[in-house]
Amino acid sequence: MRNIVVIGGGVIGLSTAVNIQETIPNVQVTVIAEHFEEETTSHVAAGIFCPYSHPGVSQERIRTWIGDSFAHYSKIINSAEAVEAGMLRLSGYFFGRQPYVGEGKDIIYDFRVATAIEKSSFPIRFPYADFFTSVLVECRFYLPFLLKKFKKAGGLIERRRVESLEEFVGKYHMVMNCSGSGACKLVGDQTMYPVRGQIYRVKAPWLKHAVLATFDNPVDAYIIPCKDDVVLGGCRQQNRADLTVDKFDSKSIWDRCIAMEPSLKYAEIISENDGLRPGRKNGVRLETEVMTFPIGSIKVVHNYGHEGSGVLLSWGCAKEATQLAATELVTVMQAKL
Amino acid sequence: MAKVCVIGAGIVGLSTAVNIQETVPSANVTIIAESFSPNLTSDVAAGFWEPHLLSDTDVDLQRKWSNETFEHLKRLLTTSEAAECGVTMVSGYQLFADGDLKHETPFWAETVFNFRRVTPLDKAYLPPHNDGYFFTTLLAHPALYLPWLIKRFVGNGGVVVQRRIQSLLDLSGKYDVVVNCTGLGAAAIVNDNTLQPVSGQVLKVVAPWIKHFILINTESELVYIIPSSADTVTLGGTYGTGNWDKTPSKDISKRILENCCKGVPSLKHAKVVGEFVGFRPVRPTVRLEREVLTTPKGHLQVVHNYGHGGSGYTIHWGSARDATSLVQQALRELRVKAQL
Repeated sequence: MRNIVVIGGGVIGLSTAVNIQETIPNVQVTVIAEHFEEETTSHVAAGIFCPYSHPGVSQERIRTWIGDSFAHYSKIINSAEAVEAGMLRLSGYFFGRQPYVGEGKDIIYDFRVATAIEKSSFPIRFPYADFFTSVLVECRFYLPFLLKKFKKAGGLIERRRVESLEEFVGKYHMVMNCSGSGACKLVGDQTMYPVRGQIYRVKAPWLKHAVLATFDNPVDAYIIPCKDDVVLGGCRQQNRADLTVDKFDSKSIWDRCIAMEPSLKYAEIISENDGLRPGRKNGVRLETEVMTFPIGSIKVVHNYGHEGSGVLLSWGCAKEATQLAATELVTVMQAKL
Repeated sequence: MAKVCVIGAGIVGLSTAVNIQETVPSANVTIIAESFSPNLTSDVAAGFWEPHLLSDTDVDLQRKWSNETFEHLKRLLTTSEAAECGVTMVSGYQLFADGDLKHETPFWAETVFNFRRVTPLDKAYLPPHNDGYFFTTLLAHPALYLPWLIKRFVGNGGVVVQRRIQSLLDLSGKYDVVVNCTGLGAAAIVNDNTLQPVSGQVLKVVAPWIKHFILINTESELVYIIPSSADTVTLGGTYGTGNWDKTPSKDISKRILENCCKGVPSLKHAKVVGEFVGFRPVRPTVRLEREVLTTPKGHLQVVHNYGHGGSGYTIHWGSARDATSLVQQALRELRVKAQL
């Protein structure tokens, strides 16, 4: 029996934990995190699966992560588990003054240029508009779904803060570091920075399409229909780390969204929220490291720094992280012989 | 001041009445109807725009009326009133599971947005099919659109009267023009035996995670899943003839739910909140024409606007505009006669 500990209870941590249980035989997995479910960054996001650029990572690797995640979500959406898992299929539009740039356009269900007539059905004309069909994964349902799966397969949970990975030396065969923004302190990664986002949740059931527009900053207006509500956003404020709803952001987000969708005048505001995306200078860190401490060393698979692409990459990264762990475990076993 | 009476308060009657008010400033319009929303055929429908069951109605007219209606709904969409009137844009799939590999591109493919054929890639995640299309269309949610039309009508100064009309002759001498928007009621009121009620049973369910429509044409059935501008989704459908029973059949409800769940397994979790039966007023062609009736009290100018089959929502605004032109024609004739 191999003991593996996963640090982090967000979409990356739980996906990694479940993937390990489903792939590696004879393991006992424990997830340790300070925050679970509604306390996580993952929980705040609408969860739309959008093509996105990741300059720090090779195109081939990103495409594998995106492709694996999409296939995983698509399978669940076509099953009766879709509702419990918080997943649905959604179409929508990208608008901007530049063509939409992002990896994964050919991986989602559909992506093509919008016609002039179609553009005219929106109150604001942007020079570039694309229509797409993709998936939405709402972590407010998906995290509990993963947690339930995890526990059912014998996984253990510890709700506490981890100060250093040193505490796991000699106690676990492998550490999966899925600590998101926590990685900065936990493993001393100085290349991390927060990217603050703010949203509204409103009641507007007549909206069936997502609208993501770039006015002055990348996707600074988005309207995303979710199962029970509609998420309005957004902003990407680098290096801003305060977690309070900013009324100035509220007003500018609202003004941009209502300019795109005047019927929001009738939307009932349910809540406002903000979160800090775990940004990292060279993108996602997904690699193995042997970390050495005074009392000994331990094998770590790092899987953090997904910024705004948690949902986009979670299952694909979890699969690769699991493979890395599996390889290391074989090495450990061989070393013992 | 011309006195115009519109009989019927369904989608056709209401839209015709509003069109007359807004086009003919000299008209005082009254709506007389036996039944109102939510007890109409118009309430059972999903309010979905797609030309359907218009039999032998001239294709150019189908195109004209449906395009005008699409433009009308599109205009409403870009205003802040979209939420109030229940107009929304919805994308989805029309699939064929009938063994026929190539269905003709429909005439309305250019009107809707994003029309494309399904590709082999779609097969991986959609219910089994041999052909199909994806497109984006509009819908007017009856529970919001009908009340919004009445509000607009009354706001324009219109009067609504609840009364059963036995014959158009009853209105002679009281109104300058009578507009007959009685749908299936025309069978009795004007003895039109070419009207055939084609019954449709639907389930209304709560399934807010459904953001796309799916229509599946099999050899024997049409299965459909159509979201609304609220939390409900309409599941259907049936096409029954010779049966006037408005009571929903439990067996049919079960079959509709099973068929829809086969297509979209997540519907297993949908909560059924209503079962309804509506009768589509199917006619060989839509009857949109004038008639002058001879009555003991003199001539009665009539404009007929009924028999919209399964396309009430799809063509309502276009046919209302043509009906309004005919009303204007009738009024001009009356003025000329009055001058002689």
